[in-house]
Amino acid sequence: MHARLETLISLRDRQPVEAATAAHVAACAQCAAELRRLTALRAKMASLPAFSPPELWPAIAARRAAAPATPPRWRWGNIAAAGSLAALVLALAASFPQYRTATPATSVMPRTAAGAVPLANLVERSQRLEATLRQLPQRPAVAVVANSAAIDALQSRIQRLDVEIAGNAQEASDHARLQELWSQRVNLLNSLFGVRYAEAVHAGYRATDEQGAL
Amino acid sequence: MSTFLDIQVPPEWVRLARTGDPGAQQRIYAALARPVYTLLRRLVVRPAVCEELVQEVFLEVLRKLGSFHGTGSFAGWVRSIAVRKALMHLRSPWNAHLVSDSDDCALTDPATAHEEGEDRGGDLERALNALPYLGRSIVWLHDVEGYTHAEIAQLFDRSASFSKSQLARAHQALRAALEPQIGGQVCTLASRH
Repeated sequence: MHARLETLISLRDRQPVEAATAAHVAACAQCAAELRRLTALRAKMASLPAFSPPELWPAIAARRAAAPATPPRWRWGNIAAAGSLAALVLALAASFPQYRTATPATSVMPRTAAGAVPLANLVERSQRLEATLRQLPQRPAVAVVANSAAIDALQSRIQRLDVEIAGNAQEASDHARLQELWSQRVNLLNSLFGVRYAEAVHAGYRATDEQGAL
Repeated sequence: MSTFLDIQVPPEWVRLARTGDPGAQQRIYAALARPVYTLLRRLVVRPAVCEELVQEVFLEVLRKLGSFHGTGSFAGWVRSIAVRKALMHLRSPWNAHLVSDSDDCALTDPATAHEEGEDRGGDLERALNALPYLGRSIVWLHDVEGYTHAEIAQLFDRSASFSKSQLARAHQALRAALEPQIGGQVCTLASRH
């Protein structure tokens, strides 16, 4: 009975395998040859020549220069991903002490006679959420692609909002619009925190009440 | 092993680039463009898409320089961004219409695979390019870039054993492509151990 390909790859990579299997491979000409072939193939792949990229720096520099004036494109697929992920993790995020402090329920936020949350409160809440986000650990070096897509989408949306907010703040003409933009910003930061926190917890992060007291 | 491991980007370049110094930003690009493009070509294959992705990678690198704290290799950090961009592209609905979806979520692009292999004259290149995207990505990330099965599992949001089995399947396909006369005998090596 010969060793499975998966086992031979483990042997090649010096990963632990059953002693009996290792002994068999050492004694079996066919398995030993297959192991040598796998080792040689890995070396051959690693020595494949590199590809030379065309000159892309001018395009990158131009796109970077244009970025503030050109808000990132919003992708509906990312919206859906961000929305569903955010919904899934919101309950989890609510257990984070700083999050509880930074994001009181909307129902307890002070409101104007017209029922809107005052602009100053929205700005303060936004700042507290950003401070809370900064307290989360750095993103894992190897991230789940779906999380990254959602985080990218939320960050892009926030950047786009910031451009709009900056424009409206300079004009100072439409207070209601500004209020609406800040309200959207708070909601997006809430979602972003939810995804980032879920990712951090998945990577082994645990928030403590002591941290919450900071 | 990964060419990224040989690249040393001076911390001073990173510091200057963070302040918006265009010269430092361009030096970082010049140091890393080739390995990033090569990695993308290995994972995504299509040159035009890879050129677009290179731009996306460096735009993100420059935008997020502030989040690099210098605790690990800068080149490694850039590589992680490139891998994420490549996999996002490969799994995107936009890409799905270009390639076919089979039982193991495999996406193959035989036409491109054929062209690429012939252009560079290598059977191995042709065999790699003909692999489904999942197998190709896992083979390259594991065997060349040195990712562990645990890291690959995280990237694909699957288990380490999924990564191991996909790697074995991809190697089986490579063997069949490179040594067709014995490729069909692989199953004799899949008995009990």
